[in-house]
Amino acid sequence: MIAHSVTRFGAIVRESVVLVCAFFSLTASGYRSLPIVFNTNKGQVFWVLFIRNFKQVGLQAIPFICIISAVLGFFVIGRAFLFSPIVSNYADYYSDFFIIVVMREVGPLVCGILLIARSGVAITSEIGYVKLNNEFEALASVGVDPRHVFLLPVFFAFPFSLLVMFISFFTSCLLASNIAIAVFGDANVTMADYFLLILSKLNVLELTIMCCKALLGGLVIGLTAIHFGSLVGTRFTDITRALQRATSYQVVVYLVINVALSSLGYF
Amino acid sequence: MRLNICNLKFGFEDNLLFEDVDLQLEAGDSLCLHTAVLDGASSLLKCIAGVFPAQSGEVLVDGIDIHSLPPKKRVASVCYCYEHKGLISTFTVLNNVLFPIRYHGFCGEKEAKRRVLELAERLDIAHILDYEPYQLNDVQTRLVNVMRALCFTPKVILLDEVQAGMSEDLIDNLLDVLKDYQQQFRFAMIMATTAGDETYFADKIAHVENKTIKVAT
Repeated sequence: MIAHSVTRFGAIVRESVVLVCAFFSLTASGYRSLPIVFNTNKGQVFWVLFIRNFKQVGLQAIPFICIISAVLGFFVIGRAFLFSPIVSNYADYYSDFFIIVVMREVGPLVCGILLIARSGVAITSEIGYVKLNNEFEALASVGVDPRHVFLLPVFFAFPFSLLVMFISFFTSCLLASNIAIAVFGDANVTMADYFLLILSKLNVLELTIMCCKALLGGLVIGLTAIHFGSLVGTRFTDITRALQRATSYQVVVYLVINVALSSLGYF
Repeated sequence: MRLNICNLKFGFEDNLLFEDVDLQLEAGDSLCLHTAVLDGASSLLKCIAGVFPAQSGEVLVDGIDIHSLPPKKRVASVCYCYEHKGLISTFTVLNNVLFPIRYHGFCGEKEAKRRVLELAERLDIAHILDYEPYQLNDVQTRLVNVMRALCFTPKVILLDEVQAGMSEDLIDNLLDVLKDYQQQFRFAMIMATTAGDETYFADKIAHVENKTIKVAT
């Protein structure tokens, strides 16, 4: 039992090292492919694929993000209002609460997990299916670099999509928490006052950490999906295995990135 | 245009499939390569198209080795049509043909669409342009591969058992289209065939024997 656990732990460590190397390799590959964005023909194709990815990954996730964040915003702030000590300047108190809890931690976490569940899984299975059916060879036969079709659009779409998801989450949560304050507390605190109060507490560091979480987190989720998808062999069960491994590593790595950036920026 | 295959040696790891392959074709020539199961003809055609590297030897189109060409020029020289699949499952049939044309900049979008629609009408597959590859049967998939190759207007087209599973009418129509386009664009054509396939249109017939190609005289 102990020996098996040690072996399993060793395998995870080895796979993690391979994943880190693959991440840097894919990132380098993505940067080397960047010039095609400025190429007339290949650039047109890139933008079509990027916009398609961005719509599916980012824009189509907005309704789900808004629902989750509205529910969270209403009940978290509502609960906080009911169970926290009564303070005289509660709008100020809850704007701090909103920033520390929602904007710094809960929001990025929920958005990242939704990105993994919706789009990380989709990309892993798409790449896995393409690999299983030897379609990379079909691309090579017509002279198309697979990096331009599968890597580069994800390279850009995932980070920007996660940023859009963050913004949607905060906006929707803000609205819902304002309603919660009006319901449970004082309806005299207007949306504009509450919004301006929160804005006044956002500084360059907050925004920088937020953007770093979105851009780095999105990049890691996208590239991890591509890495595990590309490891699919000749059996259909390889895709299932790739999905399991990809989502496990995506969740862990994304959590680590969030904690690390929060620790660096806020402590 | 001249296709010159010189002393081509090809295989996978320890499995040598072909050696001393020599073949010459001029512009407008057609060759039928008679094949049997598991003789590696598909892999040989892919090697000639530059998809697989050769172990030794050269595939020269107008004196230039296609294995040394960048992807765009390679595809403009030699195109391979798959026997199975060969399409990207995330694209529709139309985009499977248009995407590589736009990617390489072979022609503008309007001209590319015009070529696709014209060929689709002639091959009687205009109704499947919006389909995705999983919705196609084997014959339709092969016809889409042929359509894509003809849209590229390369100097050499390699067709891998394209007649398999087709009715006589379909075969006649396909061969008419290939002949018309060959007369117009003067490409050379190598078609892998099996027992029962039509070969009357070919200028030369060859068959696989002892890991090489013998052209019948």
